[in-house]
Amino acid sequence: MTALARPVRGKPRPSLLGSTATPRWERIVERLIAAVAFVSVAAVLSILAFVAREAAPLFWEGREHLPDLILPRQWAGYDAPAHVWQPVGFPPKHDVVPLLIGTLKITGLAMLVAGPIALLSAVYIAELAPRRVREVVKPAIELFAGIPSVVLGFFSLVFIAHFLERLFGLTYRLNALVAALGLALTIIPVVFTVSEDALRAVPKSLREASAALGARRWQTTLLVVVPAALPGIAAAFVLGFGRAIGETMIVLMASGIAPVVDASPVSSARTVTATIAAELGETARGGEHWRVLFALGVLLFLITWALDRMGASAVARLRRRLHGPEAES
Amino acid sequence: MKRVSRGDWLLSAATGAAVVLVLGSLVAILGAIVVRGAPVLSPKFVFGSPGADPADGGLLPVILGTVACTLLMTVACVPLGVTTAVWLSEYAPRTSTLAGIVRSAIRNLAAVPSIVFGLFGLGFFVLFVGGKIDSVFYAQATGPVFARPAILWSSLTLALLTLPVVVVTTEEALRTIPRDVREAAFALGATRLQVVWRVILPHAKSGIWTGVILAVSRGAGEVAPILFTGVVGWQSRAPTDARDGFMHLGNHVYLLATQAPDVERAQPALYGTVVLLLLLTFSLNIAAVILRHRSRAGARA
Amino acid sequence: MVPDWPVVLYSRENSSGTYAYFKEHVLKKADFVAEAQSLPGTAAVMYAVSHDRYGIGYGGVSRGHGVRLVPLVSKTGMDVLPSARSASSGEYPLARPLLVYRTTERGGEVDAFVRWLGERPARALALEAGFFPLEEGT
Repeated sequence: MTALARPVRGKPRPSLLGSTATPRWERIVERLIAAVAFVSVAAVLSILAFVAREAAPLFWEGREHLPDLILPRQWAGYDAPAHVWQPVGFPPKHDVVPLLIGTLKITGLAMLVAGPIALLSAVYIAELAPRRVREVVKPAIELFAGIPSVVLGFFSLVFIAHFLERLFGLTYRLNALVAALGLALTIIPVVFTVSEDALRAVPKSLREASAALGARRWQTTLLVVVPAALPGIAAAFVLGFGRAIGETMIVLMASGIAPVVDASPVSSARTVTATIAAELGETARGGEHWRVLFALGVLLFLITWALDRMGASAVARLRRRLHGPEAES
Repeated sequence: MKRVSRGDWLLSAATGAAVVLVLGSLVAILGAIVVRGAPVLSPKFVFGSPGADPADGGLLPVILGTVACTLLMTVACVPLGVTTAVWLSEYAPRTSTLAGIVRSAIRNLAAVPSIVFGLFGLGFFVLFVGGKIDSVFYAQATGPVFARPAILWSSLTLALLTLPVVVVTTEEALRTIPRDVREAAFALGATRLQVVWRVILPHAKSGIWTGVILAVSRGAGEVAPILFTGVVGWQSRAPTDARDGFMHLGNHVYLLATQAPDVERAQPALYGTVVLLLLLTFSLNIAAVILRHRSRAGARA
Repeated sequence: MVPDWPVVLYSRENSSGTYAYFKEHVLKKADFVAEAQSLPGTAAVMYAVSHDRYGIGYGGVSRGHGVRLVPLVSKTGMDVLPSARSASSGEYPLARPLLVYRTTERGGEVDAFVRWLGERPARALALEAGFFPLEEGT
């Protein structure tokens, strides 16, 4: 017996029989419902508008500082032109390049770790696991997404940092790799879920045809199913990447947040998100520093939005290709 | 019986190892934390009032702050989310452009990084809305009344962050309701609103609850959106007014891990706080997964 | 023997007053090197230094548990450690007052609180928390 097979609860009132005209007040309620549905649209637009509102004066107040946001400059006391993020300084220096490098370094490393693990897990669950195993393991992996990021940050700060230090004796105890491993834990469920969906969306007929031609299971999986699902897997990576770029607490706690410009995985790094979280609390409203932090917020919004669009449309295209246009939900 | 080829064996081994690695790290994380944190959870630690040193525990105001914030958030986001889902599934034509716009807005909202929600909460709720309220109603006040970080603003910020969770889960539940159920009600002469109120929503109850639980679990664990919109580090009591600042378990974990007066001494309290936060978020997540699994199994049967 | 190993600098986040003080008074307005780790609290600095053989950091002396305090050489050529006496005499040069801000409104509980801050129990509490109390009568 299931919820769906239950009879309709509450007997219809006899007076309703035969009356199909919608009363006027109900039309008003319908309008209200539609209006409420558009709150989400208003929310997205106002997020962009109100974050941009605090950043926008950068473009007309002190415009001469604009190039310093991205170009290296020969500052007093430095040997060569450099990208410097020292927003509290004499003078303040707001070059965001070190933050972008830090973000790419940490998210890139996290993808390198999380991507293959999540994809292999998805292949196992979608293609090889017996049904009973799948029904337990799949929700368990998705549970990962239920651990608050501050807890994962704490775990990275204490356990992962300690472990890596013991293993490699690194100079910097808190570094990009520590944060990346913590971050990988949050991306795995995203990449896993989307890739698994993509693999499962591959029609059975392809597998059967491959098997009928005498292919082994591994050949079918790696040469037929995975290639067919590839756009969906790519989308999974894009969505995971978007998720990683926006993550804050883990990188704030475990990266050592130093605005370093280098490519070493074991030096510290400072991401865009950690910078906002660490600095905004004590920043004077309306100052250049404040505006740059909100501008970084606009940048994050736009990047994650674009990545999400890319991922979503790739998934939709894959569905259409595998199942025809009517399969799109 | 077909002989297992070496390729098949390798594939199973590699993919199986990945799964074991993922599940193993899940167990390792939870185990490492719970083993150290669970013994700390004495009634005094959990329900006591805080003393001079946060390392001594006394988390009552922190827990009350977290609960109050999450409740306010739920009150704001659940009606909004359920109504949106009802409109999408019961009113909007499936292929309508408007529904498409709302759907993509929900998707976008879910992709916005939590720290950007924090910036938005500060820029919109605290400074803009709060500032407007102050300039209209509190023009005489010496300091800001509403235009400052408060539990109200944190809750509303989190409500927008968790809105997609409620909408998506509810809509999914509404869609599993077979057409006949609606048609039967219409045939009896019910209006659309009556169908929604008396048939659809009662049918989707467990789906809606799943959404609520997932939203609470998600919202209670977020720290970045509340950093600038209302959370405070240490205060001796729980908030009593929507305009108060509040302490929060997630933020407390962050502070204990990085800013306690004596990090070494604060370790037990830190683990204890993490376990409490996990109890609030992770265990709710498990509940939601089980609930969802059941209702899906029900839909298949 | 001096080990050939880079010294790791532990600094504070630039939103902190300690950071600004250190930059202004010790670095004489120069920048920290980019490699300096920005940690969100003095406690985090102390924790990091105490777990890193080659680490050095700065912070309020009230939080200085589990680390070795580095004496500064005073103008007279003596090693000076931070203490209530060396800080208030200026012999230990790195000290700054904690300020209490208030709005212009006078009277009431705020006045009472500010008065209380200068009294004996408050000074005892400050000492207990590892800060150096106000001198009597200030």
